[in-house]
Formats: sequence, C-alpha cells, structure tokens
Amino acid sequence: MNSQRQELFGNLFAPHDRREFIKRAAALGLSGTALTAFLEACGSSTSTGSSTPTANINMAGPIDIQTLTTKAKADGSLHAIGIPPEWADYADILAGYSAKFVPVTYKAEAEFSSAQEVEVFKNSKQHPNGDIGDVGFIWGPVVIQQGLVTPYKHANWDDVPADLKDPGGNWCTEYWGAQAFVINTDIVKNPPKTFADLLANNYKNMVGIDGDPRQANDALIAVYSAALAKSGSLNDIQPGIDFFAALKKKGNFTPARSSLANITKGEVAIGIMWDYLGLGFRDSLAGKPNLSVVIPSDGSIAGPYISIVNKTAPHPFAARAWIEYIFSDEGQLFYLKGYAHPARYQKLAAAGKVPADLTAKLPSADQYTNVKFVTDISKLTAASNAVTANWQTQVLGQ
Amino acid sequence: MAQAVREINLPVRKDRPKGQGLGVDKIFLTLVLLFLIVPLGATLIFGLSSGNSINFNTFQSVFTDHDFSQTLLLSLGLALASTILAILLITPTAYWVQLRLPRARPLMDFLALVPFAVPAIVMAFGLVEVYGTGNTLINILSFGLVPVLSNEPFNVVNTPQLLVCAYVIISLPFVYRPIDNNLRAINTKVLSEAAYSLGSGWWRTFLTIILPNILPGVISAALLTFSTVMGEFTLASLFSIYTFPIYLNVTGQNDAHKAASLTILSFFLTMIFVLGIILLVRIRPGSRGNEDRLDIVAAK
Amino acid sequence: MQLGAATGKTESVTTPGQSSVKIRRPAGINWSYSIISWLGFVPFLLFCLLFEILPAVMIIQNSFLDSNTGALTSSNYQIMLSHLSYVHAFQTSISLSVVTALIGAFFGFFATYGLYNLRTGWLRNLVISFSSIAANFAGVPLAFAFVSTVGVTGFITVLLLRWFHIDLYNGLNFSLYTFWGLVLVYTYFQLPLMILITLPALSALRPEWREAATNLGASNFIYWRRVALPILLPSLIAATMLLFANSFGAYATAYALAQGSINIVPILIGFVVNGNVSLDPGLGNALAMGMIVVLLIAVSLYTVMLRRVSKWQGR
Repeated sequence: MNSQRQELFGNLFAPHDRREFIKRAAALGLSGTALTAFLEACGSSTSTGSSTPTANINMAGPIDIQTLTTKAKADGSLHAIGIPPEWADYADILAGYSAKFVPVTYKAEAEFSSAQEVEVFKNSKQHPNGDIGDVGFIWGPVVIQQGLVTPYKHANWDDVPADLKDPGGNWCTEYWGAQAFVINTDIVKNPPKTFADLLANNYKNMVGIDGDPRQANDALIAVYSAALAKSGSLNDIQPGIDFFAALKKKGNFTPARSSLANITKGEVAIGIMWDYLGLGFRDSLAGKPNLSVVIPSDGSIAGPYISIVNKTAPHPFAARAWIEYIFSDEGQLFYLKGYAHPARYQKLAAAGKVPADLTAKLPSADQYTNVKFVTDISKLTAASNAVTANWQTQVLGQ
Repeated sequence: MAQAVREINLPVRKDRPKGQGLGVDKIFLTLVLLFLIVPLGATLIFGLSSGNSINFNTFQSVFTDHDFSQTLLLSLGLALASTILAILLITPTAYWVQLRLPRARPLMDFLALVPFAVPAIVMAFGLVEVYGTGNTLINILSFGLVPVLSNEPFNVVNTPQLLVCAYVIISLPFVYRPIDNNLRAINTKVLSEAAYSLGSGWWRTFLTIILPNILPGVISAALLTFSTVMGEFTLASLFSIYTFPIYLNVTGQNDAHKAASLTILSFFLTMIFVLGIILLVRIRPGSRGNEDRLDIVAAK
Repeated sequence: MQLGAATGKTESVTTPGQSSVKIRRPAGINWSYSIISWLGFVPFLLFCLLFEILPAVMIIQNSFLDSNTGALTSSNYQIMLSHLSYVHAFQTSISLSVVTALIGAFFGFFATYGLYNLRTGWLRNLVISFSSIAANFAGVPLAFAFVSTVGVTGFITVLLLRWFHIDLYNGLNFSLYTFWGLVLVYTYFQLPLMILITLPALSALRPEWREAATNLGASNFIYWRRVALPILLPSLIAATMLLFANSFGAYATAYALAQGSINIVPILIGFVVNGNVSLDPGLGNALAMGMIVVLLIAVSLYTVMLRRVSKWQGR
C-alpha cells in the first residue's frame, strides 16, 4: 500500500491530464479513508481513549503524582460531569484541584442526574466528551456492564473498605452520608427523634422527602430507612412503603420536595434527607429559619457515592489526577468540611489527621452507630423495583 | 373594490362605535394580568427578603460576576440566531403550504406539534444519540447527511450550531401557529392572486405584500422563540454548552433567596430584550391603524 | 370571493349566502405542478428530517430494544399497556391537558380580545412582551412562585388565614400538590400562550362587519354568534390544540411541584430516563412513543373538526 500511495502522490503533483488527475485523486481519497478506518480500528482496540500512553505508565494502577501532574498539564483541562459545587463542598475540591493541576469545566453539567452522566459517557464513545463523574452507588454495575468506565486504583486504594469499591478498580466510593431529619425548629415545637415519632405525633403537612423515590436516590434511601426502622431488617423495603402510606393517611406527609427553597420557606418543616445536605442548609441559612439535624435512632441507612472515569475520556491523565486528588487527605477532608463522611474517614481519624473543629461541627459520633450500609446491589435493585411497582398505588393513592 | 373604498373612508374608520359589550374583555384582561403578576410578586418578595430586611446584594454580586455577562451574551446570540433561522425557514413554508399545498396542512400541523408532545429530555437524548452514535438505520434514512454532519469537517456534535437547529425545532409549534393563524385571517389567496395578476412573482408577492400583513404573527413567533431559547435548559446542558439559564440555576443552588431574585432578574431582562425587538420592528401588533396602511400597500 | 385558477383540482366556490357549487376542472392531475409544489416544501421537510424526525426514529428504535441486553423486544410496550399505573398515567395526562387547554383557551380568548381593543400602544407592547416571557415561565421557578403564593406557607394562604380566617389547607382541604393545583399552575403559562397565538388571528375581524351587523339590528350576542365566532373558530380550535400539546409534554413544572404525586406520563418517563435510581431507556422511549400516538390521534380529531368548521370558508 505504501508504494502505491507514493506513486499516487507523485503523479498527483504532476497531473498529465484532468481525467488522470481526478482518477488518482479519487483513488487516493478512497485509500485515505481506508487508511483512516484502519487507524481507527487500531485506536479503538486500546482501552485508554484518545491519547497514546507512553511506555511504562500503568493506566489502571496508581500513577505517581509527579508524572500525573506533568501529564495532566499536557492534557490541559478536566471536564467534570455531574459535580455540583454546593454538594458536599465540591466547591472547595474543585478549587483545590484547579490550583494543583488544571482548570475544570463543570458548570454546564453540574446538576446532572446519574442517568444523564451515564448518557454523556455512552455518547462519548464516538465523540469523546466528559472525563469523570460522581454517581450513586447503585450505578456501579450498570456502568461496568455498558463498558463506559476504565479502571484506576488510586494511591490510597487500600484505605477504602472492600464492600465500598469495585475489586477491578472500575469505581470507588469517595464519600457517604446518612439519612437524617432536618427539622425547622421555628415551626416544629416537638422535634421527632425517630421514625416512630413521625407517625405518632401531629405534624400536619410537615414531613417531606427529597423528591420521588422512583427517581431520587435520597428519597429511595429515606423509604428504605423507614423500612429498617419499622422492621429492623434490610431485606425488604415494603415496610417503608407502608410507613409512608400511613404517614400520608394521617396527613403528616407533604408531596413537596425538601429542597433548600422549600425548607427556607418553611413549606417542608421536617425533611428526611442526607445529613450533609441538611447540615449545609443549617449553616447557610444561619438561623433564618433555625434548623436542627438529627440522625433517627431507630433506623438510618447510608448512601455512598462513587467516582467513575470515562473509558473514552479526552483528558485521561487529568481524570486520574482528579481521582488521586479526591482520595488524598486534602480532598477527603474537604468532603468532611461539607459534612459528608469521607470513605477514608476511619484511617484519617486513626492517623489523627482530622481537625477537632471539623469533628465538632458534625452530629456526635454516637448518633452514627446505628447507621447501616446496604452494599448488596441486588437488595438495592429489589428495593427500587418494589418502590416502582407500589409507590404510586399504595402511597399516592392513584 | 372594498379596499379602495376603505382608503377613502380612512378618517371615519378610526372612530370605533363606543360601548361594545360591557367591557367584559377588559375585565378578563385585568384578571389574567393579575393572575400572572401575583406569583411573580411573591417570588420577588421572597427573593429580596433575607430574614427581615430587604437585600439587594444578590443583584450586586451577580452583575459583577464574569460568568453572568459571558453566559448572557451567549444565550442572547443563540436566541437571536434561533429566532432568525426559525422565521426565515417557517414563514415562507407556511405561506407556501397555505397557497399551494393545502393537502400538506395536516402533516405540517403534526410536525409542528410533535416537539411539544415529546418531553424535552427524551427529545434531547434522541438528538444527542442521532449525532453521537453511529447508527446504520439513521445513516440510511438521512440520505447520508447525518454521518457527514457529525464527523469532520462539519463535526456538529455538541456545538452551538446544532443547538440552534434543535432550538428551531423546539420553537416550531410557537412559530407555526401564530403565522398560520395570521395567514388564515388575511385573504391570502385573494391578495396573492391579485399580485400575480398584476405581474408580481412569488417572492416579490411574499416579501412586499404578504409579509407586511402577517407581521403580527411573525412578531408573536419571534418573541416566543426568543423567550423559549432564553429559558431553555435541558438541551444546552446535555450539549455541555454553558448558557444563561444554566448559570442562573447553578448560582441559585446555594441560596433560595438568591435563586428567587435571579428568577425575577431573568424574567425582566428577557422582557427588556423582547421589548427591544418589538420597538425595532416598529409595528404595533394587532393595531388596526396599521392595517389601513398595510391594506393600502396591498392595493398597490 | 373568487378562488384562483392556479390549482388543477376540483374546487368549491362559495359566495356569501349560497351553498357551495362544485366546478369541475379538466381531469388529469398536472404532475409537474404537484411536484413543484412539493419541492417548495422540501427545505423545511429536510430540516425537520434532520432534527425532528430522525430523533423520533431513534426513539422508536430504542423503544423496541431491551434496556439490559439490547435485543429486539416488545416487552416495553407490553409493560406499558399492562401495568395499570401506566394506563392511569395516560388518562391523567390527557385529562390534565384537555382541562388546561380549555381553561386557557376560554379565559385567554377574552383576555386577547381585551388586549386587541387596547388603544394605548405602549401598554399593548408591554403586555405582549410580558406574555411572551410568561408563556415560557415554567419548571422550578414557576413551581416555587406558586408555592410562595398558595403553598402551605404561601403568602395568600397566610393572608386568607389571618384576615379572613379561611384555612385553605386544613379547613378547605385545598392542596397545591394535587391535580387541580397543577391545573392552576399550568394555567399560568397557557393563558399568555393563548394570548400570543390568538392575537394575530383577531385581525380577521373587520370592523365594518361589526358596523354592518349593528346597522342590520344585530345585538352583541348575535354578532358574536353569527359573525365573529365562525370566522375565528378555526384559529381558536388550532390554538386549543396547541395548548393541549403544550400541556401534554410539560415535565419540569409538574416534577418541580409535586415530584411523582401526580401520575402523568412525562414524569414516568423522567423516572426511567433521567433519574438517580434506575435506567430503563427502552421503557422510557416506549412511553414517549405512546405520547406521540396520542398526539397523532388528537391531531386527526382536530383536523376533522377544523375541516368541518372551515367548510363555509372554502379554505
């Protein structure tokens, strides 16, 4: 093929007549497309995306910070999908990362749902777009099965508990939060401490969850926590659905979402949502209204979030630098500053690296002793299916 | 002809017979306007109050933010481009269908309603997948245009150009209906045939006779498209293009009062631009005074 | 009213007061003319093909694929048609759209007429600009605006309680987060939309007809019933159809207001396509196809209705 192309090129620069020229140009074009197709086929068989890896760099294992910094700077920037600055202090994490490595483009996709992030990664196969994402725990198997992620085990891989990460390195939990009651103490004079309290007392139109459990992870885990509180086991979410049906019947349940706007307004006086969101609200509202955040003592489930790296990431090294950063001490402590529990919390606390003032701002550790983790994906899927089937008819009554 | 008579009677026509109805229409108009303004007022009050005092800090911090001007300019550009493209594409087509292809009207109606019926997120995913993933069926059905467009040298994937085209489709219902209503209202066939019989070609007729008469419809269409694009969120974020509505959404996440103030700010900013468009065109939509002038144009 | 000789088909010619008389033109279709007619339509069709029809094809294709395996299947449609909650969702969506369309059309029409009769130019321009923005005011801002107004802690709720001792939520059992609450919220953007699309149509009403009718002794009511409404009816029906479609596909407002409390199809689609819990694009696309089919039926009914109403105009 090479000699043929050379011949075509040579003749191209000295066309003897127009017809010859066109014939050869067409042949060149066809062979050109054939060559490109050949190269593309070669390119797609490697697993690391568009930029060619240099020898001796293991794209799946930890890469040392020096190499990573240089290579990331060569990449130029990071395109983060689904990283909202107001969530678990991502604002500080983004700033910290930009200072150390490269600038981050994140604003257009900041409020993406996990499904939207997966869609971006899916469409990235043909036109690379998006480097890293932060999705709910339940999405781990989905993104592996659809072939959307590439494995990367960061330097602190062993610090994260085994059930919170993928053995193959495809995803890893960065932080988790627990279900809490976010109570507007200006309106609620007898704040609840347990799920049983919610049902027993009179909280007309006050209790709301963070969306619909068929769509919002936060709301699903709230229902699951109610199931845990009622039945004491994690095997079935149905008791949770029954609980909310009873709550609605009593008149305590409001369909309004426990968003910042609704909580500020007082439209939702008792929100069941992630503790870190509630604590963030409490601080930013600074007493207007007064909020109190408690972990229900009869049942609370934790919701881990996982970080994923796009298989066809246009900036592969910047992406890996991000992973390193969020699992570094600095990154993990920023999560703590945002009131979320970093995945490496045990190790950090044992090493004495957690500042005392940060620990003081969180609810006391004994409130978290009863928090359970559901890391069995089949249980979570079963729960989501049960809610999809029954929530409409049993709770909403339609 | 009636038009010549009207020309002579111009001064008389300006006096409308008084006492039409009980002013029921004015009452309805006032009630509707009240209904539209009150929730905005509630939002504004909530936005300006932070606890007990009035707070204008939000506006200060927003105006000095670099992202504010950048995204606003981008959104304005997208809105203008979409409006112009939509009007240019659909107005002649609506006229053409009215005149020469009445059989295609149901097809037009259906095409002009589908963007409404399909939720934005589904449409967005569909569009992104058409141009993002290589699909043989799509390639065939599009006569090979889609692969040409999504790869070099055009490479429209996730570009503002593709976004503008998507916006035109989203605004299609808003554009087609007022223009079609207006074409029904004027004697399109009569005017056109009068023009033909006087020797005017299709384009000349369209530009000098029909267009001035359907200006109210065109203006309604332009305004609706403009405001649609200024508020559109889903598609732009999926295309990774950072527009003004996205900026407002991200900025308002931390603070509910801020979000409320920004809502009102966006509302009135867009309104000012829209007013600008009306004043630029200098025709008052629906005013009968101008109809006389325009009918004279037609009678020429 | 003369009709042109441009088209080579049979046409009805109507003069006021007479029934339609059919004029037979020479038989045999002028093919070159038909093809040119369709050629003029091509640019628009091509544009629609690239950006509207092909995504719709994508939706159709994905609706027949299993979300997990990617295999061809009709299970998405089976689920959609067999589960009662999906069927109810379609019913609720359709009734919500019909109700909001009718309310928007009725009140909107009178408001448009009032606007049309407004003599002060600057005020009219202001109202039109305002309406064009209000017609697109939807989603989270709109939902919150209504929460601020008639929510549990909304200022009108509080006002009614403090000044008139009317308790909306506890006493009257009103709730913003129900079907009728959503109707109230949807009306917010249906009304200005009606105004903007009907205003151009009102220029069909010639004032001399009004004068002539009054001269002949017609009362206001007779004028409207015999002269104005028949002229306007095609445009009004077209506008109502638009309002129906607008409400049918609306998602952001309903979700922002009441999450999944109100069982409508766009929200169900959002659950499986845009959520944080599950992903089932096959089912989502099947539901979207269902919506397109409903729209098809609605448009057919509307075309029939329109034809009947425009018959006397010969258009």
